[in-house]
Amino acid sequence: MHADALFLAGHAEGLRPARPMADLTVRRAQAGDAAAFGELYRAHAGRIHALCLRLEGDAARAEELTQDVFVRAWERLASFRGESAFGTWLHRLAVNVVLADRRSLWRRGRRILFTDDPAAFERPAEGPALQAADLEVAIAGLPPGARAVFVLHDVEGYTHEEIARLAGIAEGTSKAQLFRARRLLREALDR
Amino acid sequence: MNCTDVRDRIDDAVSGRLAAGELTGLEQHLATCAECRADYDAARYLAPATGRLPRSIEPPARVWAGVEARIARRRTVTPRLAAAAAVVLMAVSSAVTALVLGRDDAPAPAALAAPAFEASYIQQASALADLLARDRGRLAPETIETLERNLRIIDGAIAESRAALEADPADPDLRLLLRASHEQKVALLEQATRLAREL
Amino acid sequence: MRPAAFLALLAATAAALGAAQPLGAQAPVRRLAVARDASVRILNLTGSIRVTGWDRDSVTISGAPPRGGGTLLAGGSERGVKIVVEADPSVDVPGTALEIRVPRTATLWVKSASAAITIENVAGEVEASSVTGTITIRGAPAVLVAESMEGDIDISAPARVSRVKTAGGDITVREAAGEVSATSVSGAIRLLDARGITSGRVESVSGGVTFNGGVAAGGSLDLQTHDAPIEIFLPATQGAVVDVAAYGGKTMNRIPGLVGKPTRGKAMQYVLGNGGARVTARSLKGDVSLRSRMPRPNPSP
Repeated sequence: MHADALFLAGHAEGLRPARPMADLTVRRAQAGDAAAFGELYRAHAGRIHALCLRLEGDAARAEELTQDVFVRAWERLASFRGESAFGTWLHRLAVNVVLADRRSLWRRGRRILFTDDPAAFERPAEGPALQAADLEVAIAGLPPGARAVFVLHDVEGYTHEEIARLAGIAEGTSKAQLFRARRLLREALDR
Repeated sequence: MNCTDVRDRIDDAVSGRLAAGELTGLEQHLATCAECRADYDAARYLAPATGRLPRSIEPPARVWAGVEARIARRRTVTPRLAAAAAVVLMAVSSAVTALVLGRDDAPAPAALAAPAFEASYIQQASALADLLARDRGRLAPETIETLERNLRIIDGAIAESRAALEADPADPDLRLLLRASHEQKVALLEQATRLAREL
Repeated sequence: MRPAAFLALLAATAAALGAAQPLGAQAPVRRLAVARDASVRILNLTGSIRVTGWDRDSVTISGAPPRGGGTLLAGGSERGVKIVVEADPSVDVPGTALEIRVPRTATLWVKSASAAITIENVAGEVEASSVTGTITIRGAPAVLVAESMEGDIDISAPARVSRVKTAGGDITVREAAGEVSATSVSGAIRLLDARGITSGRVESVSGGVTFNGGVAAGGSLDLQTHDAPIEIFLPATQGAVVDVAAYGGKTMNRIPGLVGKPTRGKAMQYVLGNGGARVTARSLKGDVSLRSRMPRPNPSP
């Protein structure tokens, strides 16, 4: 029957053999094993959460985004074919989720209504030496475009070409934002 | 060396990876260019502390609890079954619209099969529709009407594009047209879900 | 003054002014000193929002909610300012008309529901979104993101990078340049007097798409609809390879002396000049037309 042939065609395309993957846990998760997915979560959540926190600046929202990333990863597991390490694929997915969310004004609007903390815009406290904690606060105080590029480039190690592709901006814009971010951070931390 | 060349080499210079010949050229430029000097100093100043930033920060346990709850709902369509389910998901695209709008009269499945690449889009749309169905009471009636009108337009486009692609499966432009319609649908549902959650 | 106390004072002032103002009167200007690249976030659901960039390191706010129309809150520090009109949407009063001046290089977010948004002369990053309110942008932001469900979006001399999206609203972008992405479901999209697009993506499902202007050498432009017409007007000096795939509709080439060659199925390819840019147009049911210039000029408002 025509429908059966089409069924088989669709089925075969979805099961086209991927390159062999080193990680059995990923394959089990792809087969629908939620416990395996839980192991993947335990292995990668810290890294993804750190990324969301730095790109976001807001702890509650970063938790929601971390959740969104893993739910989307679960939904898109079939598209992971082992061309890169799972962590790399997951990280890229996380960047996409956070950047897409960042562009959403709606979310920002909600923060404005329910976060009355003027300290959100405070300059970081002065300290004797440049501590990692001071830097975290200074990063949170960057304008969002500069912050995103600084976190992705200097903290997470993406190239400008990758950032341009992920964020939908020109490479030149990414470079300009990075230099701007570094200057602003230096200013903020040097006071 | 001009400013553009210098700025492209600052990171390598700071991390000691710049070749000696280029390093000389860079230093000569920095001696006379205050702007590039400022960029170089900022990069050097930040590099140690940036390197010390923790790469991993464990989230609280409630985050996993949330993930687990949300994927439990999704598990009826696992990745491996997605391709096979593409055949029956033909009707689901319109059923998603029905779900969003709270209607019971989902259209009957058509006779054609759906290309496998659609499954992921349909899953995404279904996930968003779930969220939206829960929160749609927060949307103004006019917004729901806008949403309804535009979802119907997109569903029509999806059906017609799919039929055209079935007739000529190798045509890349037809594939792009179908993909674009799916992306429009997911983007619209995302926009509406954000509105419902945050207004 | 410490920022926390500053915020409290402003809120109290705003509340007092909000209660005392007669309907429609403009409150005295309030001024906040800010850095040149400060963030300014504005939320006002109904009424109107007009933001103008200027060359001072300060934010000024004019306008107050009418009686019963809510509270204006504003505060922050020199790195960032939030301006919010908190109102009960169920109360039927006119919205607040806000007029705000910000440093020209500020980073700006503006959100409304039905309030019309107008932003002029801001050269930083701009994000504006509404549900039904119109969005009008003049001047060249570095990065522009504008989103609405039903509101029309009108942009003149836009950003180096812009992303514009509606469900039903029409989109008009004048003098587009650089990277432009404009998508709609049922709204019409017009890019007029485009100058040197490097990467353009224009997509509407059922709204018409019109492109009039130039694509940079080495640049790309992709135009797509489902069942609405696509009109392409390219200057006589444009070098481009134009690929058109119109399935149910007609492909009409009105450029004198230009002959297309069929490539695959119904697709046609036209080579203009030295072919430096790539233009692709596809529609399942709409007509696609190619012309060398628009029949009459479109004056900017």
